[in-house]
Amino acid sequence: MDPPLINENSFSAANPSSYSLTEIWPFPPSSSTALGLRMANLADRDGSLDESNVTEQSGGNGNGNRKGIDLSSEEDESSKTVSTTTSAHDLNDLTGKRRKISGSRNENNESRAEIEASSAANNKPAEPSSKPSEPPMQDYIHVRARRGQATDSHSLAERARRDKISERMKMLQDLVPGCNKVIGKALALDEIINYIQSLHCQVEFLSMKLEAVNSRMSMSPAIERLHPKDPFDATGMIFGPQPTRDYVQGPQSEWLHMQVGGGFKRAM
Amino acid sequence: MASNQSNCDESSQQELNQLRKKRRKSTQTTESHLQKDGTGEAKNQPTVRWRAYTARRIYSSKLLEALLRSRRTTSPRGEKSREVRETADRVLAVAARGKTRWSRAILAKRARLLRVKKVKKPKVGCDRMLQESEKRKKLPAVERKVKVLSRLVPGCRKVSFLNLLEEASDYIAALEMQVKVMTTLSEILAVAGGGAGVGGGSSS
Repeated sequence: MDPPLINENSFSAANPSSYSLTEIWPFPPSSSTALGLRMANLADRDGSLDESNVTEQSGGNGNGNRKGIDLSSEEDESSKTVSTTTSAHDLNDLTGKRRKISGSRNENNESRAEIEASSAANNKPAEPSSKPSEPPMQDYIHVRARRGQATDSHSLAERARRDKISERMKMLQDLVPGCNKVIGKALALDEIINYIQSLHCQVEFLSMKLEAVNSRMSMSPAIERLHPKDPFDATGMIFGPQPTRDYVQGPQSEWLHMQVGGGFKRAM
Repeated sequence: MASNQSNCDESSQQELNQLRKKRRKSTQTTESHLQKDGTGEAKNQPTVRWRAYTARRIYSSKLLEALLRSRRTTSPRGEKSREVRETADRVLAVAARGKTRWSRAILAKRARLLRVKKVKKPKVGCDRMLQESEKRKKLPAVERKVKVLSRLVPGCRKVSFLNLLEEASDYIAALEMQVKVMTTLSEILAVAGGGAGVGGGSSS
């Protein structure tokens, strides 16, 4: 945890007006000359944006060079983007600017960047913003990393995966009634499993019922004439006024009988 | 009788049309709301797919046809009384239009049964499993539940967690629709059976 603190102290106070994403590190030629730079900007002084710019630059001494250039001369905050996809933050225009400027860097950083990335991956990936990592290349998709989170390609991929998983869990929780109150993957999965099992049981029960009805129908052949048309109309009228979301319990025969009776009076 | 029936049909058709319009509006609003999330994702959301009125109608009509057909053809069946359930599942899988894993698995089950009889292989490494159960090596709770869930959703045993969740949400929505349709269908047919029986008896 120390290296970021060192660097943070070396910064001057952030300009509240110029947000987290103001400028690029203005010494491109020096960056190519094997300097390991590290800049972490504290952007959330206002508290509105709860993310900071994690900026890395690979200088190039291969293995996690911790030398930081004193940026006290820098008044404004500078930032740089790192790999992977953007989330819902609308920093696209600024990242666009960064891409242009960073694209002007020479490609010496490439090979060093890869070495950096691999070495950074070998080291603890949980260290936040302290490792010099690869400079943004054109073929990388840029993202704004959150404060205190690692910006490794691996951890970013893991984070994206976790986000997808949580999104799908939320969707499932919306489907399963009563799952909203539960917190945690294990308990929510419990609820989901129970719900699926109960739905299976209901389907079994209803299939038995349908079979009984079928056997009864085979005895009176008059019903077959009705089938092509009436069930549609009747089901239409029945399905219409039903609420879209209701926890399907056991046979809701009471109010259904009323509806079915009404439907059939009209259909016949 | 015929004129009465046609009149009733017209009025019921009008009511149907009104209901259909209401349904279309509601589904359209949900779809437009969902489209904000991502392009092309609106129609793929399981709730939209399975809660639409059209889905129910399609499923109910197909189920009815399949039930009538199965009743005519497979009367000399032994003690296996799961045909209705399997018919219903198959029609549900057909209604899914093959976009989901579980639907394909359900349809493949029947094809496999018709070709080759199921031969259950004994599990390889049975001894290892016994030893592990002795040691009580518990996998993390989430993983155990994921395994159970994968067994519940048909065709999703070796599927990644991410895809399993997606399949499960679609499967749950489909099952809900299936239950609703079967409920109303059984009620209708029960009443129809009772009514027609009485009507046939009285007319003759």
